[in-house]
Amino acid sequence: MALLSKLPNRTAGPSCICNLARWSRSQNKTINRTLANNANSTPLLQTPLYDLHLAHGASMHPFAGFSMPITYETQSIIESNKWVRSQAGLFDVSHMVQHIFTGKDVTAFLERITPTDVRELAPYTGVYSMFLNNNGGIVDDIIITKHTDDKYYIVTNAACRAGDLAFLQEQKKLHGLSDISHEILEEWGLLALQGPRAAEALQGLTEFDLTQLKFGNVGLVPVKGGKYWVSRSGYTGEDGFEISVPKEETLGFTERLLGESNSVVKLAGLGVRDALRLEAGLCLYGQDLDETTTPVQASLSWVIGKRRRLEGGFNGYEVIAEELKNGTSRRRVGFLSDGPPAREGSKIYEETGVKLIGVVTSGLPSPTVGRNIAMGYIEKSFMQRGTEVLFDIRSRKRTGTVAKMPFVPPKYYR
Amino acid sequence: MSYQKNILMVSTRLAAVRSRLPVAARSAKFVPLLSNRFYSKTTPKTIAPLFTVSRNTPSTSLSNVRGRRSYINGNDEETPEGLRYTEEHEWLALEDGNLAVIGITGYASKALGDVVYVELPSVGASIVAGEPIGAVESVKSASDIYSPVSGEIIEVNEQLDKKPGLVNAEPYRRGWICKILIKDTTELESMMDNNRYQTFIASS
Repeated sequence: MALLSKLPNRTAGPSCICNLARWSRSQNKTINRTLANNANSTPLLQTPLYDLHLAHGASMHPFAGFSMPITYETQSIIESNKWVRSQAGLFDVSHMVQHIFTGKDVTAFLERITPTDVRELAPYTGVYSMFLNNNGGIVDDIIITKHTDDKYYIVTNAACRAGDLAFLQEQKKLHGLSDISHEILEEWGLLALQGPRAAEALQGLTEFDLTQLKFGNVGLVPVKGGKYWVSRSGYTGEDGFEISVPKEETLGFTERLLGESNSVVKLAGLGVRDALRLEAGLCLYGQDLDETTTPVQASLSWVIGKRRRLEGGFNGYEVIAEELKNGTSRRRVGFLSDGPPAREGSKIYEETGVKLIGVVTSGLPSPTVGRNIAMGYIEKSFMQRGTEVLFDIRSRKRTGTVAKMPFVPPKYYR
Repeated sequence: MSYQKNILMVSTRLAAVRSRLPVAARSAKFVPLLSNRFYSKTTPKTIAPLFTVSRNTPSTSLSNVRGRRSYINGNDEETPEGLRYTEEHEWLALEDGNLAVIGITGYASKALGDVVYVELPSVGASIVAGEPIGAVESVKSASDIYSPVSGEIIEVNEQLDKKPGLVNAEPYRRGWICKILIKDTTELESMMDNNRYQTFIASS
């Protein structure tokens, strides 16, 4: 037995950066520090809920430089999965990077580095998007929320922190946009409350009518203790919220959410989060997406705004426009199978087992579906739903079928 | 079946299982996970008695191995005496001079979480110590099972095909993996006893 968690454990970015300029100054120091310490001896960062996780019997593991809860002793991943899909789960996602961009040039900047129709995005609305490099490759997948035309809130992946900051600084210079100020909300925690009873649980703590917030909307919601930014979004396919809370209030707010809702809300770890997001057909950056993958290859063309498809003007437009017109050699698709699950790295062969046609990027036994689910990249001619394929699992070929994603129907509140 | 129903059923069944445990085990942190419930097409109507602990002295004859339900006296949560352990978290019980039963330890099964699939070796296969002979799959990970000894697989626990959750619920009993006819019993000397294994997991 090798008891290695298969959860991705990429290295953290620098731990104490507040803005791009400071990051730049500290970059050399950071590199030296990284060389001096091997990855295991670098102290892990803690979220504001670290002690609470321990008190709830969390199994803590390094994730993107943070010590994060993978599971809690009261529920197995399967039980927690059922709980989130029937009640409500609370995820500490304070490791994720929250940014505020302000200034007259921000809209133009975001239109340059993402394929989203940022200009036409309604105020107080958030969308899934991505930072693109000049080849159309995905630097990170992100949520952009517009507050006003000159103020945006963006959430990026913790594991991409250093890369994103370098990218943003380089792009800012490259495009000669000056009126942009950028701040990382270091002093704010982030919670994700997900599940069919999430609204009921949060409504118990506020006078604000949450039915006003539809999927993608964001509002400044007054609760006991303060006013928090609440967006109706998530990473599970369920109705739910992501709540940005000042660090010093995160613990109190979490306890009220866990307590007053009388066990409707239970803490949920990153282990079940991975299963839930895969069931919802959602990508994990670094596993399902990387800098060599375009949104078209990743079957995420829907992110590209209609106007943007015609007008272009964003990084990698030439490559992406060509792919939109003529297709790509490979595409991200879903798979269903039985027996041993195909996981990240499993090679995919066509049904005679001779020709290598793709690779699995995420896969696990789905607690909700009751079968193995996976996503991966496959040659275009095999991407048809129902196509039989073979996975190489521990040197044995196992059958699977190209299947529709999401594997579990989304229940967003629209 | 609605999720709601399913969850109620889980707690009912866990409660039922708990009430059958000896008092000491009831208060223990370990809760049988019974994950296979979610994967079996029909829900068993009766609850298998999980903790019918055999108090008999360990058998040493081959004829008694078949049908025996426990390789230990005591609790599944512990690292029982009388077994040998590896750093890869397998246990080995010597049934006869050179017949061994192997499984994965309670510590390992807990760390893995709900086991949903066990890949078993083939009966008759020749195996080499330290080589993978199968795998245990949970929602979050796949872990290879390494044979602690060289020899021949003479039996595998086919019950695990239908009930992989036995690896969690009864790692030292009905959750055994396979039986091996050992080629060279000196290989056993490098394995740990329960005290050394306990020290090993405490330090890892």
